[in-house]
Parts: sequence; C-alpha cells; structure tokens
Amino acid sequence: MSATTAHAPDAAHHPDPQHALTLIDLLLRDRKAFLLRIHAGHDLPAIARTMLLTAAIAAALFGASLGFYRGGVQILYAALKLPMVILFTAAICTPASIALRKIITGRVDPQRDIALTLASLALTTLFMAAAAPVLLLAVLLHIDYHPLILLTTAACAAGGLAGITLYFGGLQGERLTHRFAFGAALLLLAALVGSQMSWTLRPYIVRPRTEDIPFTRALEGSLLEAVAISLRSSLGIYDLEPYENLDADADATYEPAELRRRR
Amino acid sequence: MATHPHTLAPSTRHEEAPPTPLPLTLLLAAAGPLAAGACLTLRLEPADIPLGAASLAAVILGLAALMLPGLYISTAFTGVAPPARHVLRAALDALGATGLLLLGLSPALAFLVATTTSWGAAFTLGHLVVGLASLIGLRTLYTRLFTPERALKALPVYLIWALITLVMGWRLFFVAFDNIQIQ
Repeated sequence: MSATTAHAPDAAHHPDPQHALTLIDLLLRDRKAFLLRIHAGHDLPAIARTMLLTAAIAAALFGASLGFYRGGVQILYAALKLPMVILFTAAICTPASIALRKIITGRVDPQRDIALTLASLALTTLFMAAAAPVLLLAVLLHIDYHPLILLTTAACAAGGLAGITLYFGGLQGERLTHRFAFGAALLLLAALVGSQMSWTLRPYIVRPRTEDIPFTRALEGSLLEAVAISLRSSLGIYDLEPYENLDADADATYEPAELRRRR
Repeated sequence: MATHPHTLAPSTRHEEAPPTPLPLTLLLAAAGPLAAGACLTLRLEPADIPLGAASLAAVILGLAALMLPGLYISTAFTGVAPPARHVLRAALDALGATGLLLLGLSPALAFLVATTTSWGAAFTLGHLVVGLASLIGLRTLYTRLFTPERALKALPVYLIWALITLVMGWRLFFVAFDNIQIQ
C-alpha cells in the first residue's frame, strides 16, 4: 500500500483543500485505490465535488491555451467554453447512463456513477491541461493553424483515452458482457452529444487575423450534417439551394455558409 | 429455488436487483414515450410538441396492446407460454424498460434536435432512439416471458412476432411524425 493510500482514509473526514489535493493525487498516482474508494462508496459527494472542480479548472486552462493562438478576448472565451463542452455533455448523458446501467445490469447507483464519470472527466482534463504548455510553446513558435489543430486533437485523444480507461476500470465488478455493452453504448452517446456540443459552442482556435470574435457562431446545422455535406462535396455533389425552413420540401438541401459568403 | 414451468422467468437469469415496482413501471412506460416524443418535435411549432408527445406514446402503447394477444396465442399454441397474467406483467416490465431508456435519452435527444436545422436529421435521430428503445423492450419481454428451459423453443415464434411488431411500429412511427411535419 502506498503512502498516499495509507493517508487517504483519514483525509476523507477532513473537507478542506488538502483533502481535495489528496484525492487528485490519488487519482493520478494510484487509480486502483481511487476506484476502490468509489466502489466502496467512501465520501462520494466530496469526490464528486473535487472531480467536478478539477475538470472545470483543468479544461479552462486547456481552453485558455487554445485561445492564445488568437489572443485577446479569445483566451477568456475558450477558457469558458471548454469546461462547458465537457460538463454540459456529461450532464446531458448522465440520465442515459443511469437508464442504461439499470437496463443492462439491473442495478442503479447514481452517486457512484456520477462520481466515476466526474473522475474520468477530471483525469481526461488533467491530461489535456498537462499538454497546455506544449500548445503554448507551439503558439510562441508560430506554428501554422492546421498543425495546431492536429496537436490539439492529439492532446484531447490522449486525455480521452486515459479517461475511458479509468471509466472502464471502474465498471469492474460487472459481468464482462454487461461492461462492454454499457460502456460502448455510453461512449457512443457521449461521442455524439460531445461532438455536437463542441460544434455548437465553436470556435476555440481562432486565426490571428480574425477581427471580430464571436463567443459562438450561428447555428449552422449539426456536425453530422457538416460532415455529410463535406462528404458530398468531396464526391462532386454541391448543395446550392437555400434551406432554412423546417417545413421546406424534404428534397431541398441547404447552402453551406462558406458558399454563401463567397457570393 | 425450484421454478414451475409456467413461473414467470426471473428478472434476468443471473444475480440481479429486485424487479421494479408496478406503479413505477407504469409511470416509466408512459413518461418515456411522452418525453421522447416531445423532444423529437422541439424544433417544430409549439402546438406540435404535445401532439408529438402523444403520438409517440400512442404508437408504442397502442402497438403493444395490438400485438400482445397475438404473441400469447402463438406461444400458447406452441406450448411455451406462461399464464396470461404473467404475460401481462412481462409486457409491462418491457414497456417500463423501453420508457426508462426513452426517458434517459430524452435530454440528449432534446439537445441534438434543438441544435439541428434539418427535420431529416431530427427524424433520423428519432428513428435511432425509438429503435434502440424498442429493441431493449423486446429483449426485456423475451427474458421475462420465458424460463431458460423454454427460451430456445420459444425463440423462432418470438423472433417472427418481434420482426412483425418492429416493422409495424416503424410504419406507424413514420406515418405519425410525417403527418406532424406537414401540418
């Protein structure tokens, strides 16, 4: 047993910043012990609170580093929006998580599920925040827009992988088929909701030459619709007719914003 | 614990939580389709939202009422059916599971529908959500109805019945929501 875990039970009864730091340390250094605490139901509200704050702050730091590419008010905007993306997605997916857990395993334990979800998000965002200095260095070295996007994607992917691994680790105790079915379903839902949430709250990395920076862009369909349009465009099928009314003919297609601006 | 051949199958075949109380099951069976139907029509006229809610509930609950007698008759004919009251309870549990999933997915569905500008995308999402919830309901019904000893014998009849039910349900869903769109 590590020194950290030896002190962890005592720290559970002291609701102060030291306890929060102990929990974060445990999350990073001894995830098995951390998951055991969640599984045993020790101090779940404090764990949830700490993980929520950790995820928000770490995501804000990562967001701020993205905003540095444009600078100015975009630093603040991105610092506000990244935590919103992550935490709003988690909030929207939580009812589905509880329902799926009940249906697939027959059991429901919202407190443990929420604590595990928030812990996974905290680990994800800590990884992303750890990559923030790399992004800042890239900006200082005047890296181009697209390589920066790839770097950002890599940082998010690494964080996501860590978070998913923790989440699946927290499901042990369930049958393997149940764990796989539940985890896969929730992952798919989170990917769908999270990608749409990111799309809705964009932009995060703004080109330096941009003069007027919106907090969010106008709603221009969904991410999946944009992907479908890009796919059709890559096949030489360009959608030119405007489509703004939901009662319009189903065969009508809508004009991408980029095409409208070029006219 | 010995099981009579016609005893309702355990909630699952493994060490599981106790079954959901009947009042809660009924509430979920109603609330889930109502919530999901309302979410599906979120981007249409405000007057269409209650209509959407009622339409989805009518499709799911009406279809269950329509198709269950046929399931009972066909499984009784093949000698695998439990008593009628067990079939009813199993059906309610299945509707409860469907409703629970629809209720759980409603926030996600509402968000995704609210942030799309295409009725086609919303309709597709509705298909996915209702389709998944229907499959969950059918799986729950199968595990509740048949003991492990009779499950394999009942499978061909059940699969045919489930397929017909799904096709009819899809058709009713399509007609109900297509009507809402063009009003």
